[in-house]
Amino acid sequence: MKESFRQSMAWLHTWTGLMFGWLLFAMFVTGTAAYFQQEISRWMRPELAATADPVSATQAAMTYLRTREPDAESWFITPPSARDPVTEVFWQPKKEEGQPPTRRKRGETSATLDGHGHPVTVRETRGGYFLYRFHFDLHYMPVMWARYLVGAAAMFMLVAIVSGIITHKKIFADFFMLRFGKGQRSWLDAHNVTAVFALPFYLMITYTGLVTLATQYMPWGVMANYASTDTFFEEVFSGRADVPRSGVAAPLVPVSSLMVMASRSWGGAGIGFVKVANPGDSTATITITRAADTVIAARSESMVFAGPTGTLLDRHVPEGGALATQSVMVGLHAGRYAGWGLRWLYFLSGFGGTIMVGSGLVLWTVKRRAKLPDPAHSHFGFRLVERLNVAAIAGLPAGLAAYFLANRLLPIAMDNRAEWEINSLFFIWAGVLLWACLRPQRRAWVESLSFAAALFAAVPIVNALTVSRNMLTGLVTGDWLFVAFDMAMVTVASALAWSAHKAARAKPNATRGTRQKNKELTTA
Amino acid sequence: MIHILAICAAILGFGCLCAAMARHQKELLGRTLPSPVQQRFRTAGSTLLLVALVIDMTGLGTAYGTIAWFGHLTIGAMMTLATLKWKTA
Repeated sequence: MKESFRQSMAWLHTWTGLMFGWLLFAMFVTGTAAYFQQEISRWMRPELAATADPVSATQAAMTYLRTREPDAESWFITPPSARDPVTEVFWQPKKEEGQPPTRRKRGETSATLDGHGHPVTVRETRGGYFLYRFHFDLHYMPVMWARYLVGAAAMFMLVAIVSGIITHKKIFADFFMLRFGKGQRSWLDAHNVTAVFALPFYLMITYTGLVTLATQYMPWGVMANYASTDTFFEEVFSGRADVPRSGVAAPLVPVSSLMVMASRSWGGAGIGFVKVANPGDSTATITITRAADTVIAARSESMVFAGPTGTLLDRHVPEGGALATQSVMVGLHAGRYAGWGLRWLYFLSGFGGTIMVGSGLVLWTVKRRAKLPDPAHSHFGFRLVERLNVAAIAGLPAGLAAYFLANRLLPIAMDNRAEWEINSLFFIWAGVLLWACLRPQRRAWVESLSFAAALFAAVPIVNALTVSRNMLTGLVTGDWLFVAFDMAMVTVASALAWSAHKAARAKPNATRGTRQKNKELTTA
Repeated sequence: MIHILAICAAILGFGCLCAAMARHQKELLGRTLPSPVQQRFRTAGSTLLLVALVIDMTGLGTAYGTIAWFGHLTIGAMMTLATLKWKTA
């Protein structure tokens, strides 16, 4: 076969893009939402309001842990911050002699505390954190397999980006080229414009995404040099191996003075994390890690203190060029360092990526529909792509809205409530997939998009009926989180409704019109 | 504040670059430009994008500012395209 280089790249772009397109769409949606995971979590736990002082809250959390789990192997405390009003604690329970480690449920080894160290009574939810985890761990499947799948998708994405750049020969000449009402041409324009405008972001996010899980995807370097991956992580990231308890009891020094000291030595940076190993024992150590919001690098510095005396034992600064590079790449990907302005830029770029992937998926069908011998009886592969496009582009947003609605509507005391919120998401998503398979594809688009729009529009209403914080009260009291969340829901609902309207108005069977209808669908 | 300043510079920069392109001049300016003027627009556009980078780097720090600059460029290009579509609509 004689093909030019560019033609072969176009082929590669088409098929690598399609192969994992739906998964990539889901990763873009949840990953983009995860830039606001703390805010989503706060919205999903409306009972929590004020933020406590991190230092006294940590001290109070230590008191709580001392009463509750004095014999634990270690305690982990995440102090409250500007974006997260509560103290999250979890612990590694004492290992029973000769017993295999038993798997515990999430609630049995963790707690959410207020500033005074009392467990808060909030609805059980995984909040924005679930969206963040779904972005790379997916759900209902073993985490390791999910990560291989996600890694393969990211690798295909990288191939699709590079081959896409080669295929799109007129990046600069066509930079501002967006023609409406021209069917396939319009779809291609929309795909190109969304791809080119944030191209540096897509390259960065895809490459650094692969780097975050590089030790899983390419474990051979670690395997060749370390006895096990655990030794590697210990050496590289914590610098201290676990020490067995001596059995001699010794009280811990107050953690507050250590936190103040650590913060001062980091130029006033906040405290991200406190770990206490062997609490109450003479071998106890307190590790204080710098908050991630002050530096780009994801691996923060930490200081290790002796538990009973408070003497500084160790300063752990990630060392070496390779580690620093990896750390900055992971930091760039997760964007934990980003302030409000930059966070919105991340969000917008991620949203652009969602549209880029969505328009690419639709373009695949638009391009082929024109060439079908009989559009009414297309072959199986074509119909499959059509249906999956509806399910991904309209179904996942619908599921997301259902996740928010379930948070407000499920009974507060329900067993496994958090898990049922998540089930609601997938239930609705699967429902849209089923609907898309049963209905004619044009109707499927219109109905699924309208359904998703209705669900998003319902979120502010249901919120106003079930909890006391909403857009109106927020405007009065300055509760901007609830104002912004409601506005975001209304915006997404309008965009989806507009897409449904566009899809409905398109003329059936007019070759140009049929394709044109889908143009704005990807704003979903 | 720095974000807004840099975004303004990026919009102006992309606006100039767009105006320098023969195929968009009629839509954006309502007339075509002679080639020396086009060249001047092109230089001005590139300079303004660099000005945005300087604003970002001095206002937000070298590393942080560079990252933000890419986001500001995205918004600048988006707003320019929106203006172009609005003019032709």
